[in-house]
Amino acid sequence: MTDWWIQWWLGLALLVSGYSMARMGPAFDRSKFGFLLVLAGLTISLFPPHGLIASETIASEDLITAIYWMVPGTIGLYMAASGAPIYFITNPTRLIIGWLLILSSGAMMLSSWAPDLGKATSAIATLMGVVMALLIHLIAIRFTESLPSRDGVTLPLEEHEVKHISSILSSHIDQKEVTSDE
Amino acid sequence: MSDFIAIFCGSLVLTSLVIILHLIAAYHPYHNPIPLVVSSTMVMICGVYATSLLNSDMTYIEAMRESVSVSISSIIDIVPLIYIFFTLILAKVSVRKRGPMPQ
Repeated sequence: MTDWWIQWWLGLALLVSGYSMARMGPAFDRSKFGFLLVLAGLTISLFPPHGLIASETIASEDLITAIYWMVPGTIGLYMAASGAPIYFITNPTRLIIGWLLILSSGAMMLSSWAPDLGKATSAIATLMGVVMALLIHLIAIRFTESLPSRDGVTLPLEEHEVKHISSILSSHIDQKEVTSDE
Repeated sequence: MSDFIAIFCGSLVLTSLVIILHLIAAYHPYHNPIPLVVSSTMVMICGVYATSLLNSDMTYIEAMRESVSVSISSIIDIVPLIYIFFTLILAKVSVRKRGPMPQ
């Protein structure tokens, strides 16, 4: 058995990291590289190397099978959501294309999805594990939030800062009054 | 029953790994991720240890690979249900009639 199995795990790690990075706020430049990392991770994961154990091979095959309907399905959900009348604006073209993608990927999904009792039991065990880990994480977040801030209390403005901000505000108010008079 | 516990521990490890990766990838200076990374690492170590007890003929790494990859397969099996759920919500939103935009 070679150590090339690490490549598959690295691909999955890049997938998760890329998604997390892409979801960062616009103030952080790293978010631009997120989707590139997702693509890199997806490419590495879709070409499993030799040396995977049986369960990893099954997981890799499941992932490849799921990708075929997941990618068009996700694009369809996104398009339909952006075309639906959520914010008082409807885009019928996007809505129709989105729903066509959703229905076609749904048909692909149903042809490859075969739930049985064994899979249902595994799913319950998995959900229990995920919920347990998330609960512990939430407790850790609560504990972290209760810790005192490293920055301490923000100091009040000094005299020259108060004068500076007051002059800016009064000049803005004067400009507004002149505009409204005109 | 041992399979059930192995998958449970595998998903504990998988979720902790995902949380740790997320905290590292989305790190920014206004966040203190150390307690969260420590707690997730402890959960992960407990999961790996429990899995290795169930598979005593395997090394820690092999036991972790085995159980986590089975968890990945199980999560992929659940994804269609999540997809159907989102589709139903979107169907409800797509046919909903909204009033005029408030001025």
